Amino acid sequence: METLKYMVKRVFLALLSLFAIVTITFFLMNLMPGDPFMSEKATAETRAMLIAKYGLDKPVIVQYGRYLSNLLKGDFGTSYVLQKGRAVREIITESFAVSMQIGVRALISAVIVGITLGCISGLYKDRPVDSVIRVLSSIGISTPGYVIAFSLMIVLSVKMKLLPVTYDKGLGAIMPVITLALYSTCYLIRLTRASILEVLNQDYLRTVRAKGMSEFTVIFVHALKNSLIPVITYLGPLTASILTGGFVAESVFNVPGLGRYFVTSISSRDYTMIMGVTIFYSSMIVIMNLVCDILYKAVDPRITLD
Amino acid sequence: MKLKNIMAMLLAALMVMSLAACGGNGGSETTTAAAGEATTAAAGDETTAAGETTADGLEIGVVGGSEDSMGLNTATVGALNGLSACRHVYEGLYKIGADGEVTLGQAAKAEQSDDGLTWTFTLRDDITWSDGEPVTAEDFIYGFDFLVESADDYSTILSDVADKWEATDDKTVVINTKFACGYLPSILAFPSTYPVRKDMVEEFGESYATEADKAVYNGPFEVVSWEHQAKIVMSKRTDYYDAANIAVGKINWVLTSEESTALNQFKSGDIIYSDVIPDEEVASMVNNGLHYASGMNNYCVMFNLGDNGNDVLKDVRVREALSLAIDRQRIINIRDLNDEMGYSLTCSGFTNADGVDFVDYIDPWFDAEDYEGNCEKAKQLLAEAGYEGGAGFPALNYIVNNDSRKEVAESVVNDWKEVLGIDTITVNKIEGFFAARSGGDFDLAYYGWWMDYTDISNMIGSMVSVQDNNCFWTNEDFLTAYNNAITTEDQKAQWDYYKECEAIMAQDLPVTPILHSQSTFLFDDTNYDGLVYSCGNFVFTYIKAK
Repeated sequence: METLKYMVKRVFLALLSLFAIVTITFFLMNLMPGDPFMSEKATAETRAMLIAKYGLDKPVIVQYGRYLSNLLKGDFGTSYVLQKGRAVREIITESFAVSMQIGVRALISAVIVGITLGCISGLYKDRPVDSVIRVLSSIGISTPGYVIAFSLMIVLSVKMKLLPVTYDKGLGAIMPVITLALYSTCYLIRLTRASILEVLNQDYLRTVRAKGMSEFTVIFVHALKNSLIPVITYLGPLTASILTGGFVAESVFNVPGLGRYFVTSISSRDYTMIMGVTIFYSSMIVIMNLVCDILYKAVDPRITLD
Repeated sequence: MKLKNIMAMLLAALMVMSLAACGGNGGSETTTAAAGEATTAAAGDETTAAGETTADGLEIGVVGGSEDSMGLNTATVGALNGLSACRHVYEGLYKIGADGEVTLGQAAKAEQSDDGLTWTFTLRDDITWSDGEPVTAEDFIYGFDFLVESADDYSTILSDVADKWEATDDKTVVINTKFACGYLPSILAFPSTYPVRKDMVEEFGESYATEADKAVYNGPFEVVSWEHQAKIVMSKRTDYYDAANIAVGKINWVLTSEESTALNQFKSGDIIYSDVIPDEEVASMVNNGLHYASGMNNYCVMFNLGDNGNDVLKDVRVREALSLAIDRQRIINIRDLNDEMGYSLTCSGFTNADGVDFVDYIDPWFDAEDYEGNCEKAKQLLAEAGYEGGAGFPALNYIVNNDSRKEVAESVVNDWKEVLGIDTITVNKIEGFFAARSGGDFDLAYYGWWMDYTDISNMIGSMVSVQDNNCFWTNEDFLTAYNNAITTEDQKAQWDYYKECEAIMAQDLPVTPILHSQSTFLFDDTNYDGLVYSCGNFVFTYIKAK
């Protein structure tokens, strides 16, 4: 009952947040210089006709009212520039499906490898294995995504010819997954290591050991569970961002996903796409944060949802 | 031992995940499926050719721009890559032939009336759409009307020269031009003027031609799939009238603007052509597939002669001083992209019956060989205008729209500082550049024109409309000479009028040319030939394996 009440409250707050995001984004977007129909070839006359055709000649408040009204009907409009004429909802649905395919694999890889190596690193603190993991994770975090992506491409595709240069649903997914997962994996290693080290110094673990529990039980039942709270906090936004794709991985490997639109929709002033991807991404963040809050409770029953 | 076991388990887990990552639909198509076996030096070390011949013909992979430059609606497509794609799947009354010249396409015959104002086209008998329906004259008329209504980049390309068009029967298209327009065939070979099926537009509305199956095609190829942001697959139409002479059976048209990715695809043999290549890799690809083609463009500094421009620029002596002080050769050397020096608005590439290039036919805007002398003259002109040594020169805003143009602009501004002592001009890269320029919100600006079709009128005509040329310049003598040029059929007389246009612009200097850039692209010419490249448009239709 407590959980249900909490969820109703959070959903209401989420809708309120989304409304604020839509409103702020819409007006900020209209404050940006330029418009979707900037082109070297378009005459002033044709540009004016296009602006009128899409109602961009109306006052911004009128445009906003019309957008909200359409949004409530589930109509996100059509793309002005990036995929001229296609429905934004259709573009997002289609590209999210691709991003999610890669994202799920990247997320699972990041979580399994990140938490496992983080635990090992923490448990073998200051031993050679810890040093190796720490150095590698530092390199992974500090190396730009472009460098990782092109290094993989040149070695595995161009030189060794093991994998296709660009994305496909088969082997071509490996390099985008690695590129997308690497940073998060390394970050999770460091986060898990720090949490484990903090928990290992707690008194209750000494008590558990004193009771004669095996080291496995001490680590994986008692220590790991309690060290997961900060990891879960990170996993919420990570899941949202990784599932919606990454600009670098998608651009370099030509993945037809959603990630590229976060940048290209803004640079091309594709207003309907800017709004569409912003609303979608915000919704993902809101949902994932809610899921994380509920997970806190599952991991640590002392936490009250209110 | 315990540690070794943990590491072994980890490695095993990583391998399992890698396998999981490559699971999914193993039957999907990839461009690498097309990779053949032939080794080619043209594409770099140890690379393989991207094409292979199957029962359906030669299969090739190409990179031609990104998704946002792609479009299959002929009325709204504006970017070069989309226009190029349309040239493969649609066809107009004219087309670009294997020799790169404009030749009859869907029309079997074209007749021009004695006064040159009425053109009558008779359609071929063997032309069909990809759904088997015959292509009719009404499809062309609807296409022309649809273009005008669409109000996009090229919506006036036909109506600028023609005032009426009609289908007198299923096979006859009649176009009345506003003047004896000798370059009408070039316009009718341009994708915006291709035929459109009314029933398709009515069925799909705004989403017409946004998916492979939301349009029908009358060109040599049809779109069989369009994976947005990834690739378009085109397949040869066996019922196309000239199918027997086309070797290419399938085109895997990869959509990307990531230059390094395209280069790696070329090196790995996934593709045989790319129109994008990183500038820094150009040198390494010389003799490895790099090609240059005339960009058919110009790259200028524009002076705002309108109300919003600074008054100092309305003094032609100042404009000439600024023009003469630019060290064009140094800019070209720094860019190292095979540019040609700009001493005329029109680029090279147009020759008359005597084989003389137009840029050699006209008087250059300045003495390109004597930069030192130009600088002395520039100092003198600036002093005459009252700004000796740059003293008292007002602050000016020089706008550009990207980093590479900013670099060129900064080099130009540096010349003005070094030679003329002017240190009050600031280069600003701005968002909303085109809106700012067309609104006159600048003093100096980058200006460049890429030709749409190979006729001088397309270049010089870009300075005709005050509204469109953005520098708010107009000159009655220029307009008269231009109108005389486009209505004259005699080439000598026409070139003399164009020469007069160039001379008037050289005198008034609404813009000053800096250079004419070259288009760079990668093409595996060791294993293939027949690529047609014209005005930035690439045509793969006539490619053959060597």
